[in-house]
Amino acid sequence: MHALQYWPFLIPVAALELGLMLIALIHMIRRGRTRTLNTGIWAVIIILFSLIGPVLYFIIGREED
Amino acid sequence: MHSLLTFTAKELKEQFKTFKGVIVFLVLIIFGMTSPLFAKLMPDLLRMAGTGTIIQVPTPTYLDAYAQFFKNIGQLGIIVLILVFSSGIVTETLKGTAQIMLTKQLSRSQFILSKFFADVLVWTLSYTVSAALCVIYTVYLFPGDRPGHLFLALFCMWLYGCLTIAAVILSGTLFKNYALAAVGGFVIWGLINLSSLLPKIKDGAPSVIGSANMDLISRHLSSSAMRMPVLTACLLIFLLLTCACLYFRRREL
Repeated sequence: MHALQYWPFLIPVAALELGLMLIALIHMIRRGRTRTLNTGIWAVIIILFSLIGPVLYFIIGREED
Repeated sequence: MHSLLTFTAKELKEQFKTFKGVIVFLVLIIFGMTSPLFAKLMPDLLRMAGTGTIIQVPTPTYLDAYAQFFKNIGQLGIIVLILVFSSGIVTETLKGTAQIMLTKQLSRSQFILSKFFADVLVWTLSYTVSAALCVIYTVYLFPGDRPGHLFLALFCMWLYGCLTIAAVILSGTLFKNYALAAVGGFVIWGLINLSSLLPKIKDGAPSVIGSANMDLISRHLSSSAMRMPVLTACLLIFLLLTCACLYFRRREL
C-alpha cells in the first residue's frame, strides 16, 4: 500500500499528539479539579478528541494555580 | 526599557508555565508536519475510504502542500492564537497580579507592550519551527519543485499572526471577562478580514497578507504587490496597540 511507505513521517505527528494528550491528562490528575465540567468528562474529551481535546482543556478546563 | 524587557521575559516564562506557549508550539508544529503529508497522502486516503465509486484525484503537487499549510495556520492556527492569548490580560487583572506589577516600575503601556512582545515571541518561535518543518517535508515529498516567493509568503503569514495578536491585546484591555475578551478578539479579527471586501482598498487591505500567500507561491502575484498590504498591516498593528495602551491607561483595574 502506497500510504504505508510514509509511516516514518507519521510517527512524529502521532508522538506529538500523544504527548499533548498525556501532558493534559497528567496536569488534570495532579490538579484534581477543573474550572468547567468535571474531571471525568474532561478525561473523555482529551482522549477522544486528539489535538482539539487537550487544547480545549488548557484553554477552558484548566484550573488556575 | 529595562523594565519592559524584564517583564517581557517574565511574561514569556509565564506563557510556558501556564502551558499556553506549549499548546501554540505543539499545535503549529503538528500543522507544519501534517500539511505536506496529508497533501501527499490524500489520493491514497480517498482511495482507501472509497466505497467502490471511482474517484478521480489529480496528482498532488507542492502547491497542495503549501495551500494546506496556509489554510491550517490561517484558520485553525489563528483561532488557537485568539483563544490562547485572549485570556492573558483578563487573568492578570482579575487575579490582581496586574495591579501588583503596575505598582512597581512598570507603566500601563509597558504592561500592554510586554504582553504583546511575549505573545509575538511565542508565535514567532512556534511558527518558525512549523514553517521550517513544512518546507523540509515538502521538499522531501515533492522533490524538484521550486515555489515562487516562498519566504515572502511565509513572512506575510507571520505578520498576519502578529496582527491577530495585536487585535487580541486590544480586546483584552476592553473587556474584563474571559469569554468577552475571546469574542472581542474574534470580532476585531473578523473586521480586519472584512476590510478586503471594500472595493477601494481591497488590494492594499491588511487582510491580504493572510490570504494572498498561495498567489505568491504560484507566482500569480508579484512581490511588489505586497508592499501596500504589509505597510497597512504594520500601521494597523501600531494603531491597535496605541488604542490598547490609551484605553488601558484610563481603565479602572
